[in-house]
Amino acid sequence: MSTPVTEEPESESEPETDEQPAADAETAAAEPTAQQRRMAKKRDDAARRDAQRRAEEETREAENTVHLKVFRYDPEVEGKQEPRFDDFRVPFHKGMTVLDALIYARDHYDSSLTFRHSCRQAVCGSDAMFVNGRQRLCCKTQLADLDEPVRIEPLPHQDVVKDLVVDMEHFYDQMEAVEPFFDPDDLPSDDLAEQRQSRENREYIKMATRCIWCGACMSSCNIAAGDNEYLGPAAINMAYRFIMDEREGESRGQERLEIVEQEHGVWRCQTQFSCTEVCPKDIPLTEHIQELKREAVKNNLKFW
Amino acid sequence: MTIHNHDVIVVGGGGAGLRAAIAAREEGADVAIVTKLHPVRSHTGAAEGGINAALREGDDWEMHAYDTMKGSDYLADAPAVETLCQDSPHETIQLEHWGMPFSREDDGTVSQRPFGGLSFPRTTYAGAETGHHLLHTMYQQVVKRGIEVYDEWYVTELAVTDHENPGDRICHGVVAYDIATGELAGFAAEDGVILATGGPGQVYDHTTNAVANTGDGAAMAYRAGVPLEDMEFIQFHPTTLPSTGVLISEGVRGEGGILYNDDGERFMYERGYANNAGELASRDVVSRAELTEVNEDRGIQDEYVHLDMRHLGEERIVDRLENILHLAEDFEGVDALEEPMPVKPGQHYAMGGIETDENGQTCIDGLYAAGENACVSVHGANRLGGNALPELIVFGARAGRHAAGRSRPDRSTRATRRSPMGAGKRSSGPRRPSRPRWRPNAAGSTG
Ligand SMILES: Cc1cc2nc3c(=O)[nH]c(=O)nc-3n(C[C@H](O)[C@H](O)[C@H](O)COP(=O)(O)OP(=O)(O)OC[C@H]3O[C@@H](n4cnc5c(N)ncnc54)[C@H](O)[C@@H]3O)c2cc1C
Ligand code: SF4
Ligand code: FES
Repeated sequence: MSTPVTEEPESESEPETDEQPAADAETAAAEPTAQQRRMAKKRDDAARRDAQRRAEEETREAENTVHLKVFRYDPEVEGKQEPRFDDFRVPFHKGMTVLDALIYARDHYDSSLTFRHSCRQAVCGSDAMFVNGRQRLCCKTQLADLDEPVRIEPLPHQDVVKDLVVDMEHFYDQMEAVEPFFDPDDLPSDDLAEQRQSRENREYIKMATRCIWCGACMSSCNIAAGDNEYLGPAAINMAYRFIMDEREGESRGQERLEIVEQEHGVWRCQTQFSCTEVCPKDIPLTEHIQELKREAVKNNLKFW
Repeated sequence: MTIHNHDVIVVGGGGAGLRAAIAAREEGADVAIVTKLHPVRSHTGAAEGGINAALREGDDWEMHAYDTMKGSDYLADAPAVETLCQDSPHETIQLEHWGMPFSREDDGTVSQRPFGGLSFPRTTYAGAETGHHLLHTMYQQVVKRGIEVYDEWYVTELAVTDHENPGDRICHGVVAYDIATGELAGFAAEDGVILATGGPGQVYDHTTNAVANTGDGAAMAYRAGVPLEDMEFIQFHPTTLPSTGVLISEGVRGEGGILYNDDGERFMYERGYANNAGELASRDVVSRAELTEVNEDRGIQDEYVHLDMRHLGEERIVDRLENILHLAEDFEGVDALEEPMPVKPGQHYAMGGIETDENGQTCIDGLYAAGENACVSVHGANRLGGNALPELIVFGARAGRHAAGRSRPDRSTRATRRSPMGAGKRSSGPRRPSRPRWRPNAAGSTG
């Protein structure tokens, strides 16, 4: 497929070297003096460089440590029933994520530190937490982008089970309340023939289908915090994904609209955009909710 | 101890487990999924590339079977390969009928693309998130059917009779504990237990597999006396990010991405690893080349090599490889438009696993396995990209149907299994004593 390319890469970036070059050795005043003096000076320089290097290493080490403040709570262990924050100092390396830091702290300092995680690549949706005051996926958040100390808390507005683990049942219930499954009127009779879907329509629902059920949006939403029955952005987005899918029939769409239009549905949303801001999959949640409001209005007008 | 009673217990809620549960339910069984992660958290969600299925004119299942056999170094089992390739089109379209948002052609049909080792572009995909969509689509069908899911329950042991000879043993269920409380419970399975716990990647220091992929199912089956097959065949992927093991797809090299060592040499050519294919040589060749470079002190930071795509130009990169930019940025802190990406080989896939036949049945009555923890032996020494996802749905469905014990009567061992004494007739050894010869034109040998 490809032929060997002869051109050089534009600029092969230098690997970062740890040692600072000793640039000061030969540049000092070049007095024509005796061998001894030169030797003495060399020793002095060497000592100075040594000290300098040590100091640098120390600061680098200090700089290369990240300070975490981690929420702790364990209802089953006496002395841990009161929520508190533990401090951890974790060695830093380029590319390190908040999840890496938590794993390090657990493996090196406190094996009881508990948090959900699995894929380490923003697809399983397990590790949404409240990091420096914002809902984020820990595995997708670079420590280098955060101010210190890095404060890590469980998702707000959810019951804490232990440390950073929250009860997701309510979130799952809301997701399942919108009948989150494809339900076409009829299917091709040939079981090797697919339903047709236009590229445009697939593109239209694409973002909505990216949800990984992390719960960040729900946790960020003021309305959901105040109204436990509010379906919440993720569930409404799930409904949107099916309502807008041209492969489902009109009447199913009606039924779906009725679900999201109910008292604790789309009309609760006050377009604060907090969900859209925190969604790690960049799903335009608020827009989707607004669009469903318009659909609902259109739909109701039809029946007048 | 609480005992939960069901007809079929599926251990694991990834692609294989979900497909098995749906199939068992469609046979009328009361089925429950017991899984240490909520199903949508399973690592099937990480698959990007696609599902191989011979759907189009000019392609057919025999070509798919031929490619698979060749890719396997001729070490796969022919009947199993035939089954995979024959069933895959139906199972793939089944996903579409369940609403999976596949990428589409202008005429509205599902899109397919070329993949390494395929003689026809038959990799059916949904953007760069095929696994995510496959997993979520099937979980939706599980919800639709009201299938019971015990999530965050960790299965530790199979409940198997203690007959001396493993072939005489019967599996009656599993033991698991609730991760939140530590409470132990039994899960009794009237008809069968299906293991679908995924790969063992975490055995390796550096892997593309999730933290949860600890090979539990294979370990449990082994302890219960089931042979593990082909365990030496592990696939390494040549381009994974050093800090996390996140996979950088072959697509980067397909578009023209170049691998360099610390001396700035394009080592695939300059060091003669693959003078024709270069960076596009097969996964094992490129992985070995990288490791050799590192071992011979030409690696960067003594650990990795560089994958450079900057020469492709920003426009092309953003157009074709945008998700790679995000991966490098989010997981390695590297701007791949400005610097080369560090990459190294990582464990990726286990070809081997629990020995099963084409219906997922192991040598223990009532015990089945499907998905990456099983070895029906369709991958031999090397799995082709895009052949694992069809394995999940094809053999997941077959295991589910058969475990439910209500499938085609000639296959059902239900009657014998129900009487503990009657089940002692089978031999314990592998049921396929020698690997059958490959017969590309042997039609219908497995139905
Ligand atoms: C990054 C990546 C990309 C890939 N891309 C492709 C691709 O493009 N095409 C392709 O065909 N293949 C691809 N593969 C391979 C394919 O995705 C996997 O082989 C497949 O998804 C495995 O599915 P599974 O159902 O067997 O296991 P998983 O999806 O890993 O699910 C395992 C399940 O078992 C559960 N479990 C595990 N242990 C226990 C226990 N002790 N008790 C209870 N439950 C347990 C887990 O909770 C989980 O639900 C890729 C793999 C990776 C890692
Ligand atoms: S919509 Fe976004 S924030 Fe909400 S659960 Fe889905 S992925 Fe997470
Ligand atoms: S660990 Fe899976 S999303 Fe972060």
